[in-house]
Amino acid sequence: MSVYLPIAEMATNPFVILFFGALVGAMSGLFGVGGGFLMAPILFFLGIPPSVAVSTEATQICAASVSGSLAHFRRGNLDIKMGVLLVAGGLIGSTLGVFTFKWLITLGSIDLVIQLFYVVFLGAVGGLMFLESLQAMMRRRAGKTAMHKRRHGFMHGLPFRTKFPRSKLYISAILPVTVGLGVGFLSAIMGVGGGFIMVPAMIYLLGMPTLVVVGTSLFTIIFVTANNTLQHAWFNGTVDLVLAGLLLLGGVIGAQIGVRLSGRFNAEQLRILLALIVLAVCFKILSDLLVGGPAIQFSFTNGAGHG
Amino acid sequence: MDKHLWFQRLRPGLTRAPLVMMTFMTVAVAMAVSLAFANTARAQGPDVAAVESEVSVGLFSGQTIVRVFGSTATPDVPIRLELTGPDRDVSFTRSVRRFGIKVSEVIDGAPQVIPAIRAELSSADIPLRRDGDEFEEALIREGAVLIMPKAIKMQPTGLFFAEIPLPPSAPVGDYKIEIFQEGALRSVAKVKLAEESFAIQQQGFVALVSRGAKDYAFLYGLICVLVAVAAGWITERVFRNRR
Repeated sequence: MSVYLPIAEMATNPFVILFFGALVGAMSGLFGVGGGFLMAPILFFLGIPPSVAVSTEATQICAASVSGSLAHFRRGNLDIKMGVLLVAGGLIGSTLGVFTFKWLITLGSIDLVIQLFYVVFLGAVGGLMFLESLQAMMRRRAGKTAMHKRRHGFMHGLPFRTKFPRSKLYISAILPVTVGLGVGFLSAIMGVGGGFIMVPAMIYLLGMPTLVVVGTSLFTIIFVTANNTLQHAWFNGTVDLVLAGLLLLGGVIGAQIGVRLSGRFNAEQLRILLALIVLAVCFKILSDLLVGGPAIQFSFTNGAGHG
Repeated sequence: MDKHLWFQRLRPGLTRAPLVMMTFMTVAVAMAVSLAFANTARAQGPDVAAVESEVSVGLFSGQTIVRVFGSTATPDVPIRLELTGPDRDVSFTRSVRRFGIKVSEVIDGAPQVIPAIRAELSSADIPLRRDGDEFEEALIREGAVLIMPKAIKMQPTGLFFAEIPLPPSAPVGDYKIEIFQEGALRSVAKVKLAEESFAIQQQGFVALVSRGAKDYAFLYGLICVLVAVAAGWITERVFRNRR
């Protein structure tokens, strides 16, 4: 049994794609991350051309995020007001990112830049989350209640302070827009939804409660990945609808499983698990950078979608 | 039937079945149609009298297999078969260590345009590889060049048969098959005996998608976004009552 992917121009086993789609979809529902940083390497490994993999995956993440954020919305775990501000920043950031991406291509060695971005951000985010969750867990074990320190820094002196009732916050509207901007920018450069950066940024920078973070992050990712899908299809012609169909059939089902599973874990366990996965991917990319592969490699440049 | 089926919060069981059916059937139909893409083969007559040959191309369990039948008057002389796929731009890179990390560098003087897929077959155990060519080595390693010694089955009567399994990455386009006589005879390296050609093209749903993606890129992108949003929304609807 095999299915032909028209844009990737290759035949593939649909069940393998369905399986990985469901796996990544489950992570999406569980953690509120798109899972793009995991799916991209998996698709490369399956032999899908990188350009097609990255673009098509944006479509899958979009679908999984729609499904996941609706589920969170019904549970009241979505801060729409915060989400709208994040989206506003995110769309500006992703457009800036697309232009930077094109500029980096003209400079050459775009691959290296992407890999370094991955290592730096996955390492920093994963390490930070891991340490923080470990501390919180140890504090709990020692019998003390986890303290919610409200840091009073320059952030609280910013204008346009707005109430966010869902998140129980009273902070400047500039903050979520800035976070969205940064996430959108990185999302376009790294070809991911950006959830793995947004979730920690919302928890640690904005101080949002973990319960609301996942739904709001998924809500933002919908718009960022919809924008990415459209741009990739329009300008690069690298979105494969058949591959996307398989990925999102697996993905949406996985996301629902993830949302249900998330009720069974507590927040710290979830964060430690996500931190470990992020660090593992970081380590894999770093080792690829350090350990030499084959000396000579090649890529067909006008293969996918431009034959 | 209730006219407001989609807009009402119905009791579990009423909305679930048709929605699940719809989602799965849509994907199933898309997959089935996608499966139905076919390769067409057209064979030209042999241009050298020494060898009669015929090519058939078929899709077997997802893999494109090219079958070559032929006959020769001199079964003792080893023959060689070369399959050449459509040309593609290529960039060869070398990994270089800079400040401890691997960096890819484009190699100057490397081939710029090569066939996306190539296969070399022989009837005897003749060395087919050009040793020392680092680009060729890389292509063979990644399966863009297939080297198949003794893959042509030669009968004592002079009838021969060969099967070339094309990898899933074999692109659409025009393919050429050439049959040579091996250079058993002193100065002449190889003598071309016959040439065949065929084309791999997309049909049906697959062709529709790839043409739509090229000719109506913006519309295609919008459709992709709509499909994603609809799929996410439908699944959520389906799973909503399931608890």
